[in-house]
Amino acid sequence: MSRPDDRAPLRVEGLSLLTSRDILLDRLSFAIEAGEVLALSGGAGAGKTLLLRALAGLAPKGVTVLGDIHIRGRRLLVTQDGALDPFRTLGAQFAELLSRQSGLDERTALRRAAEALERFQVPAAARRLALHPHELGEAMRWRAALALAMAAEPALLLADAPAAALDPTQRVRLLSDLAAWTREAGTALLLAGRPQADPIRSGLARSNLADRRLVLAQGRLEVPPAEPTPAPSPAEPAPSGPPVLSVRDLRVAFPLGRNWRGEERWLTVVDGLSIELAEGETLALLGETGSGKSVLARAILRLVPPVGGQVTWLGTDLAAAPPETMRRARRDLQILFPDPLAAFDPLMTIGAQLAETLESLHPSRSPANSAARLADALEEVGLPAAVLDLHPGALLPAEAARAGLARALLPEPRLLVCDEPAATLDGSERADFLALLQAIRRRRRLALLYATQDAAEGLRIGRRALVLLLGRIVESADSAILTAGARHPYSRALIAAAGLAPPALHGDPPSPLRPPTGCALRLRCPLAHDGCAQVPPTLDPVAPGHRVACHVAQDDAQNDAQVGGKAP
Amino acid sequence: MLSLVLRRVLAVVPALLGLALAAAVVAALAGPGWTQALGAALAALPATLALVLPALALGTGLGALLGVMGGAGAVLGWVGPAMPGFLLAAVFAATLAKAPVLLGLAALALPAAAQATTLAGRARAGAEDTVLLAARGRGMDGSALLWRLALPLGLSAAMGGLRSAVAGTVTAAVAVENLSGTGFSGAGRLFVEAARAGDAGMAVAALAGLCGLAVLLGALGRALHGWIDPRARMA
Amino acid sequence: MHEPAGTDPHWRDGPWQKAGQRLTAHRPAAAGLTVLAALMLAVAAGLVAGGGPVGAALAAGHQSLSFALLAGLGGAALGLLWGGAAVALGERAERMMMTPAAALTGLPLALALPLAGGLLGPERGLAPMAVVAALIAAPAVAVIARDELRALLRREFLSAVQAAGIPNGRRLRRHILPNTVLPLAAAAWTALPRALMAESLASLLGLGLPEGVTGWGTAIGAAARAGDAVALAGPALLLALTLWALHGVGDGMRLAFTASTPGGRR
Ligand code: SF4
Repeated sequence: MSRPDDRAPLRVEGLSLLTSRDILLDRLSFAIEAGEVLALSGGAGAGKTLLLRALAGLAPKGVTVLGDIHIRGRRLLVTQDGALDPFRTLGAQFAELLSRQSGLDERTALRRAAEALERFQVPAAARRLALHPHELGEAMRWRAALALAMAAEPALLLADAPAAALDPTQRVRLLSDLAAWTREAGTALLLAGRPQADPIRSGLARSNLADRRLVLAQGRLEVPPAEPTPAPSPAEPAPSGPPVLSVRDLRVAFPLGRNWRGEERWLTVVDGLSIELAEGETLALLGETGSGKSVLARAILRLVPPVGGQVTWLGTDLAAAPPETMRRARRDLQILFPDPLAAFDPLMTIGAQLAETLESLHPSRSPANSAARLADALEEVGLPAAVLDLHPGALLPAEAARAGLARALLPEPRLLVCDEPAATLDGSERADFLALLQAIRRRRRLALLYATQDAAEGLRIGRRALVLLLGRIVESADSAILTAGARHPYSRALIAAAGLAPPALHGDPPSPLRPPTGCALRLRCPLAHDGCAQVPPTLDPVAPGHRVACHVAQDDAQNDAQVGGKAP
Repeated sequence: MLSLVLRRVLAVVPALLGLALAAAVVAALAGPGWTQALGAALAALPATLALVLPALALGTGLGALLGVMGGAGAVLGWVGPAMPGFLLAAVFAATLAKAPVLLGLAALALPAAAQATTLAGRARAGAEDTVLLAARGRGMDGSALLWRLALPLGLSAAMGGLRSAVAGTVTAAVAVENLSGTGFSGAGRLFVEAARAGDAGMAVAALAGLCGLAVLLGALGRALHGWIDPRARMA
Repeated sequence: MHEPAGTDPHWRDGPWQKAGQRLTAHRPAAAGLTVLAALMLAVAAGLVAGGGPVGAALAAGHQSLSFALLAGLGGAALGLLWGGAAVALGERAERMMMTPAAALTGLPLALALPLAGGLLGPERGLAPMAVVAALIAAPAVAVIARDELRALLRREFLSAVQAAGIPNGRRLRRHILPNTVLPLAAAAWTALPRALMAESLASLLGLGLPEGVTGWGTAIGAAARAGDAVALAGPALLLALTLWALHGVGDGMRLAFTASTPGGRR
């Protein structure tokens, strides 16, 4: 680290945090210059929040702070939940903070507030000032919280995992707006966050979001090692043969009750989707929260009842299958859940639940045989056999994820449907689990349907990928093609966000209750033109094996084809 | 605020009408003098209201304040479940026969305060690492934090439990009216005397009146809750 | 990645033991359980020994507690049935059954007991009074039970059970019912203090337990009307203590059995 400048907004020397029993943070020293963005990562429980609270002078009770914290100018802490005052409108909160800190009168404060919100690309900012925090969406609330902090012109802004719960598309946009502003205003920004072990995502610094990275581990600060460039996953031949799974025009909708006129209202989550999957194929489902990928995954296994369409497994229509047929199909179709711990019955041991699954799907086995099978299954996922006697409450998240995988593998499935299976893991645990999943998939030649909101992960795991928006496919192609050049603006945004580059989409996703006319992306799309409002684009091929639902992308593809055709 | 009150009160009008109808039917079945029974019950309600309303307001307000300040409030919340209003009323009646009005009020206000204290204390503890920490992070300090944020949080939580507090207070008011000699003659006393005499019409009419009172107070409480906390304004 | 199992002394403890530990870790609940056990013993001993003001208070406790237990169990059963049936019968039935239950919890329902006492006259039997007290306690139990059941049915492990192809009957028996036990016990417990309160209030007004049967409420009412602070102290203290203990245990059960899905390491 360079020699800290004495005028740096934050300079920490030998900072230790102690409780009566433990050393939580051990002699940390670092500084942040004006206009610098420092990204601080570390696993859950590494002490990021604690460090930020100590820097803000708000260390919890019972924690002793030793060492020197030099702060020049005003410091502000934005907490993990980005909470605002629930009782006052946004405008009142800006006015109060600015009058307290800078003595601004209300009109100036409100003008400053509108400007601050505009920096975060909030449309019609002045009108939002009359709203209460609970009337804002999650993303808008985060923008308001960060705008409020920046409007107070702090010299040092401590942001604790801002917007961690938002979709990558929104989070990355928000953070790059924030970083741009702090650089311009000369504010030192300390950005805490979870570790990003994913190779594509590792370059927080490279992606121009942060200037420097530090990692908090075992109470010490470390400069992260340079990430090795990931070994490209071995190219796999496209599986051939007839599809084993075929989904045709699947529709899933939930009744919302009746409106005042007595008409039945429905929330459509999956809107006429069709998929085909060959033996051993891997298909990623990409999309933001609410795109319907999780419901689609569950509807295929009939965990959510579809309202229309067909799901055919090896020629059998599952929607109409009698219980016995369905049970046989369930041998072949298994699922990994996003919260593996919650997917185990808390009152039964892991062993009992695994045995129950085996017994239900392969009833003929003898007890001794099945006991051996359970032990094998655990071994395959790298868990000791002692886990069989544990109740789920005794498992760590990483162990629960593996136990869930073991349960799914027991009936020897041919298709594994994964619904964000690593959502509860981060850092190396996540990477290890995904590597295990990949290895098992190759060994067993499993077909994989992998739903995730992290485009980079999805594209790495799936040989082919579908991009979902409000329950429809907007682009489908081989992962390699999508990585090299996705055509739909929405796919591009997802991929950009996964690489921590600001995605080119405006605003927030529309409510699924009132989707816009025409193209569902119309209100956020940078390329939208009048035609997009009138005619919903259809999913059409733009190249062999590459289909897109976007007017502009389709026109572009046609032009390319003509240009390419004319070229000598 | 006014429209909020109107909305909340209008929402309970069907319930009130239902109660009135039920009372009228029972009174009519019980005997010929049913109009008088209804009239008497209605006329006795203001006295009960005068007992219940200040007790509730005082108890909830003070309880919320004590709850967010911690300390003594915690003790009040802790012993709260051991002192339902009717028990306090009996204890006060047996030991301090003087100043029945004040004691009656206290017997009703204390349990309400204890409940408010518990709820407010819990709300404050829950907000400590969220809303309150966020406000501190923005540089808000001790007293502003207490009055502008912690107290409204506590009050809002206390108002959230107002429905059960209202029901408890109205119930206890019946005991207070009957134990404090001739201090009060409200619907509670009417109810018990009619019940003792086996006068179904009058007793049911009085009970319906008390229920209506509880419903109305609950609606007003909800309106006030919405006024304090914008989150409670919806629906 | 697995911690050496020996380092954590509770690592093998099952979920039921854990729930019990969470309950007794809540101090009012632990104190409440102790108080209740002591009271039971004292009341039993008082019945045997008898005599004196203490003996009388304890004997009155026998009446009050038996009535509260009877009516409370009845109310709990009724409430659980109410909430369970609402969930089982589908959405429309649920709305039709739960709207009145929720409305009833906002009313001074406890007054129905003195009303019944008055209308049944001085020769009232214990049984009808217990039925009315059970009816008073039921709606609140029903509301809590419904919420708990709804939350349970939304839990992910039921999807996992379905994905394992386990038939509905077995799913209900092996997975749903066992998981309802603790949260529904917490819901049911609330009926006990409610029944005791209703009975004490009614007896205090002279409209509760039948004539000749003296409960705490009866004794308190008589002492209050006579202005006899000494006679009041025993029953009042015992009633306060019992109510406090019942609430403490109920609070602990709510926190320990329903707060979140039992998960996490501790
Ligand atoms: S159809 Fe129009 S609005 Fe939709 S993605 Fe394409 S350009 Fe954007």
